[in-house]
Amino acid sequence: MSTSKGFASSHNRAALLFLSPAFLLIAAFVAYPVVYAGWLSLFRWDGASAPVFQGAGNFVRLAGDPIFWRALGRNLLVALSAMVFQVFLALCIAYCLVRIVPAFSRIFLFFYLVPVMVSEICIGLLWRFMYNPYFGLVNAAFGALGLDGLKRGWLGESGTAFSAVVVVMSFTYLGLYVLLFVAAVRSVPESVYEAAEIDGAGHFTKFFSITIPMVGDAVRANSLLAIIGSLKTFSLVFVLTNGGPNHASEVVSTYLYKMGFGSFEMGYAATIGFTQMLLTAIGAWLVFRYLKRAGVGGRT
Amino acid sequence: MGAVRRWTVTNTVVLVLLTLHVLLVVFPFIWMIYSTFKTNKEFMRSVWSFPRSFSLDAYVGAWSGGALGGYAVNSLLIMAGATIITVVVATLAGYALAVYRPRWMPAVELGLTAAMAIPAYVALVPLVVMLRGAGLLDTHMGVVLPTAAFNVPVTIFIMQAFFNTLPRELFDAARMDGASEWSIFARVALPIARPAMFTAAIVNMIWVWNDFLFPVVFINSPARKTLPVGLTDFVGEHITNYPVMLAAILFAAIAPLVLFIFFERQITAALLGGAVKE
Amino acid sequence: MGLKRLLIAGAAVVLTAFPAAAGELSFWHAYAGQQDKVDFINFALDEFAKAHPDIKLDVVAAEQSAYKTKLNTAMASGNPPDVFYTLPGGFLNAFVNGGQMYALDADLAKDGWGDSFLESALAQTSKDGHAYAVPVDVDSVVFWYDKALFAENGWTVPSSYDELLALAETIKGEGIVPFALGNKDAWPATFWFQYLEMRLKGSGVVSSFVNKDAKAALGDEATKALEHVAALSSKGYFPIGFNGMGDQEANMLFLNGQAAMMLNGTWQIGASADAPEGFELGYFAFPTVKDGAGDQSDVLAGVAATFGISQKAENKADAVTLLKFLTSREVMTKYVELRKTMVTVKDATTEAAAGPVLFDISSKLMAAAGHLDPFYDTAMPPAATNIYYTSLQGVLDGSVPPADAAKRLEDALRADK
Repeated sequence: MSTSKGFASSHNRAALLFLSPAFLLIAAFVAYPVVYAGWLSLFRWDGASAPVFQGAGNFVRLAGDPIFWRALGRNLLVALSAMVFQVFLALCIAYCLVRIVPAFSRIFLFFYLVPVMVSEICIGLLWRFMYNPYFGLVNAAFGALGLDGLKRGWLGESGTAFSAVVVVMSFTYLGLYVLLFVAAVRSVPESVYEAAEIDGAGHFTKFFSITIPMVGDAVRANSLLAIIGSLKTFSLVFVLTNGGPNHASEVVSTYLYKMGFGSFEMGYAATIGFTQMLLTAIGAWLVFRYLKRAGVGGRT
Repeated sequence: MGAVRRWTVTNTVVLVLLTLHVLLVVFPFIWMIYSTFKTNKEFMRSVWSFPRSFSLDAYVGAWSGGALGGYAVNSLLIMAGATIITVVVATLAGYALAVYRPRWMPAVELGLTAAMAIPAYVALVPLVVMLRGAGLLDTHMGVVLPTAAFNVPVTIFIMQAFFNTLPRELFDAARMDGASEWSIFARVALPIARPAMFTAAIVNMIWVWNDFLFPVVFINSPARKTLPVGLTDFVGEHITNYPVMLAAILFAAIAPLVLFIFFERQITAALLGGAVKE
Repeated sequence: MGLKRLLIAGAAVVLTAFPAAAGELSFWHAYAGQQDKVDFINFALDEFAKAHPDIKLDVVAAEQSAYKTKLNTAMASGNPPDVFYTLPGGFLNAFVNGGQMYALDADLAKDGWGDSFLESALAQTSKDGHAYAVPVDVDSVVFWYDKALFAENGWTVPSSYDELLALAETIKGEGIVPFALGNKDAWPATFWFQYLEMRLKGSGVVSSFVNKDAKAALGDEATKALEHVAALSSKGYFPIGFNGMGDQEANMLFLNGQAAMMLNGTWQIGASADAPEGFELGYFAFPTVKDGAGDQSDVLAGVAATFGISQKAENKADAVTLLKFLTSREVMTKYVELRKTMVTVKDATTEAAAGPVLFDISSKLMAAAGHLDPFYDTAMPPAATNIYYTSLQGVLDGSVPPADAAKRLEDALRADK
């Protein structure tokens, strides 16, 4: 902290001023729904009749609802896989594009962005056909490799449905992170690499000991995007398996949707949403405190 | 960029691997393009085969089946509105959080994290009640404002991460010269923040362009529908004409891609402008 | 009278500042996404505009699944449309219980409007003796098969469940999937369970729960029916990975001869329109089950869609006019012609409009049925439907024992307040 005490109060005022548009927008369109969800989570409500007060009843039910906890666990797995197969892989790809094959970086970047632009309905539809046990290309590929034993009904078996969905997510959202990392990796000054090369560093060393520390802020921002996106993930699960079979690929948002709009349990759905929000906020808070302390966040 | 180097085995291996990977990633798109030239009968017969004869029926069907052009205009308007609001608001807030570091910042950060985490489905009913009260239901603004509000928290963190990287001496120097806080922001921070704002804008544009839930619930009039909502005009409960649907989806995806190709140079340049550390 | 109503409506509009103008009726429907649906609604609304130029409609259309989200949100936020499309059974009942639906009894009694509907259909939109919506179309579930494929292999249509199983074994031996099934959305497999329950125990099982019949029970037959379903799956009579395939993917297997039969609704006629050359759609009734207590001629057939009027609608007279028009014989006959679906209005499912297959089902199979049992999944309360869907998926993949699934379903049906 370089500021002296005299600046503190004027800084506070300036900070408030700069923050106020965001505060207003969020208070109006986000905070009110949160309060509403918190209030509604205390009621049993089918969306048509008068709400019936339940007290903590919904929360007790939620605490003992194995479907919710398993769904939440799956969200965490989605987040973990997003960190590895979206954020980390994208950083590797960005490094390759910028440092190893810069001549082709523009065309590759363009192609990586394509799935990001295509609607999730289409991605989902395509992958349903890819995974189709009869005419799908996934089983055909295993057949061609002589691995007939690996052929299966990917989306329809409780053992593979969830993993199959996670694979699609990795392909679909990767491009966004590649785009964001390319910009960050390019901003690392050439001189730093040159110094390392004099010491005989290879790409592997340069990637881990120069690139990653130098783009710490981008890593932090992208991890945040990936984790929040993973915890709220809905569309691809909805299109590919609808959370089935028998909840085997259910995530929190699909479960919430089923409860609120399928089962007409709006109160319970609000409980799910409110709890998810609280847990996510606490989780993200802990993760970023840890990241900051570990110095990935740069200069705090 | 860097000096010209020798082409090595590493380069070749990386190039081959990337090519294979990117082929896998764009395969959906290739499949989608050639499938649109098939008839539904051909499609039902074999999903993967190339068309035997090039039929343009799907495009005719897609164009006449929904007002795609009008939907695209609506999507563009909503995308532009929400992105501009989000980026402007988030740049101000991100700057404040990074540069002033108020003592109550952890509380703000926690609040923002919570705001990011709220599932949109939970917010539908209260938002509809509010928007109706404000006369914004079934208007473009009625989609723009909640969309912006939901995207602002994440965007603030993107901007904050950028402003964190700026050396504080930059601002202290201006302060010594007696510049007001606003002019420090406007004259010192804003010009160098452009690449980061650009990045944030791209991310937001992609999100808003593909967003489905808010437009489908908040918009009633066919004339104000967005593209993703309009695409459901082609999804049947029991019967779907796949080539027509894919042609419509292709149209929806092509608009942003064309924009990207068109502005690729500017985008790359703007992102490259982030090399402030040099 | 008309003027007075208009004034009241106008005053209400000004007071509540609702966006709809006086004399404007909001009408929401789900006839979107499929060409036949769009063609029908365009026809109906054009004709309505010609017949009633004084009634201005504010029409909102959305595709089925998006529609449900929209309608539920509108309902929950306290501003439902005046006239709207909704599913019958549990979906409609939830709105009725909430006091959201206008009872149509008085209007149906006038001008023989009520008598123009099939009684069994009107029963599905009624609760405690009051009709809260008018039924539109009826879907019926039968076995579908490709006549050409059967003739080529010398297979014959089975008349008993044992024959069906024997045929399935033969077909499987030929390397063809006996029954196409795409159960991702969980409703397709319900037809198997329901037909077996109907054959083993009888029709009206779920309806008796819904009607708060004290003696309502699924019985041991439900466990038995679920065991049958589980056996079909474990013997490999369904496609691999059926729980993750969509109905339309299953249909591709069926149309391309990779699967021989399909237990599905009458929409299969429309879904078979783009079949390859040589495919000839045929149907047969769900076969009889030996020693089954149910009437073996019963058919699984129920109302698929209804139109209702909101209790909050300001101009109910115009709303009724719209419903009367939509369910007039002329409009409904056009519905049959365009959609190849049966309707609930008497004598509207004509041979000329329906085509040979559909007319045959309507005039022979359904006319001869002892009972028409409505779809369990639509009839039961929405919360029970969810449990029904997931436990059936579990029974099929072997993760839920049939007896547990039967108990879960029975508990869910009893839990309805």
